[in-house]
Amino acid sequence: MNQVFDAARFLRLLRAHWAESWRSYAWFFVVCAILNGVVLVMGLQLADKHRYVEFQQSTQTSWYAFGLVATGIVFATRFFDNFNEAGSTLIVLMKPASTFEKWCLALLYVGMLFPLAYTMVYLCMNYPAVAYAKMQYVPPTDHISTIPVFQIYLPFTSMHAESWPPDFPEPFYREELLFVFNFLAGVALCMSGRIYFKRAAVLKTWLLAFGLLVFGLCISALNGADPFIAGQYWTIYSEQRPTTTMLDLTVAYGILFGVPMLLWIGLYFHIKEREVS
Amino acid sequence: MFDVFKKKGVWTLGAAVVLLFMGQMYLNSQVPKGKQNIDSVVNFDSQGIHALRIEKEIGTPSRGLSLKVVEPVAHVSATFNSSAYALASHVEGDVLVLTFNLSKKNGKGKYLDDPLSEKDQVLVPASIRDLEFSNTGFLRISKETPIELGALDVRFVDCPTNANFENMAIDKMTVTKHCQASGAPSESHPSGYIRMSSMKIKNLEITSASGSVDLAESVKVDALQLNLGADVLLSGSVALLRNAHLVSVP
Repeated sequence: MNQVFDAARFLRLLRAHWAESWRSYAWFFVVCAILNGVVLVMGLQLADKHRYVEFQQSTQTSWYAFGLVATGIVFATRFFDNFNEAGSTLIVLMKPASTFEKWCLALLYVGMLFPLAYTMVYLCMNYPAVAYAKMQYVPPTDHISTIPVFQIYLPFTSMHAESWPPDFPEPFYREELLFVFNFLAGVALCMSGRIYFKRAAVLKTWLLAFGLLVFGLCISALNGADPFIAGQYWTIYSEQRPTTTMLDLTVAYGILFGVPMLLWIGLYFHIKEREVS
Repeated sequence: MFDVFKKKGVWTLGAAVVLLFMGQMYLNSQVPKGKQNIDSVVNFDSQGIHALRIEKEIGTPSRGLSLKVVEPVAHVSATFNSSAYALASHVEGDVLVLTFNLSKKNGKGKYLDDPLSEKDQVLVPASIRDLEFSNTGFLRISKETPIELGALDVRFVDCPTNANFENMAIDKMTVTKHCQASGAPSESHPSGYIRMSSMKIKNLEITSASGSVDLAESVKVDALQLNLGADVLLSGSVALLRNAHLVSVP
């Protein structure tokens, strides 16, 4: 039997994890759906019927992204919740699976299945809400207002509302891929903190992330630099980038791919080192 | 205490942080700092648009060239309640010509919220549909209407006149407005506005003697020429502007 990865053993780990956790996951999504529903109802009740900004594509896009990040961080933090106490930690660590298989389990659940499930919940709830808002929309008498675009956001399929006419399609691909990389980096950091810190792990992880953010912003502010410049190499077409030498592109793409990759590799080591200790 | 440095997980996290910060610092070091005035492309006389300053913010490539009004000499309200309106338009070759005229036709004004009669209907190329009119002297082209034109020529005959252009891709567009509103520009006597948003234009020329010109950030222009009167309020910003040329209208 392969000590690093064995498919049959990994499947058993998957089944065991599902059997242990499906109830808590189901409740997690029920809570998310209730929160989303409350915001939707409030939006429909309180929104200006001449605009319904909340149900236009731009707001729906932000809604989706914010919801995914917020719930994803909570989900990722809870994924290794068993590391909270010594007893439960031991049970997790003693599961008959390799460190790599446990790491794959986290990647599968947090990095893939969770965004899919979240998207399904978002679609099931927001699609009818957007359709309802479209029906209720009353065109304004104000001649300045633009015509609203009532569209739900669907990852990797929605086109930018401002990309009309369609001969100039502007999909969200670049922004979406950047978002995926950042999301993966964020959840990896959350899970790493959850495993590494033995007490008050969530608080310490948040403090670490906040400290890094403030540190980065301070350095940028002192140098008058753009703290998010790497993203521009990915989201902006080549002719508009600030500089386009091969070294610049290598560094920019190195940041985009490298940081999430290193954080996930770090997560692997954190699981492994927790097993050793 | 120093056990922390023996852990590969910590080192990997450190490597990610170093890669992030060092990489960002390197990329920022490659971008020229500060703002650069590009007044050299601005050509106006002493009576011209002295209140206008153009700055190119180097280091913010996504915004390209920003147009900013430092001391607006006129303020034009967006409120305009003209009721009588007429629109005449025709197609010259593959060019759609829209002509706005505030004067009433034969004493009977054309109310823009009225359905256009067959006679008045705009002759447009097949790629243009759903021209939308409101009752306040306003032209808007529907956001849900895909519009692509080789050229668009818009002429304003009388003032005040308002026009919004949205979601069009045009190779060459000219907007001409020589009229002056009677009386000083104010909320009660606006000189009208020209607004553009979500446009992709290769070559845009706007001549306006009065009112305001507002180019939203979503307007992408390869080459722009603005011929503006001294009182014209220019606002907004033009993204991805590569070549701007401004002259004043005598």
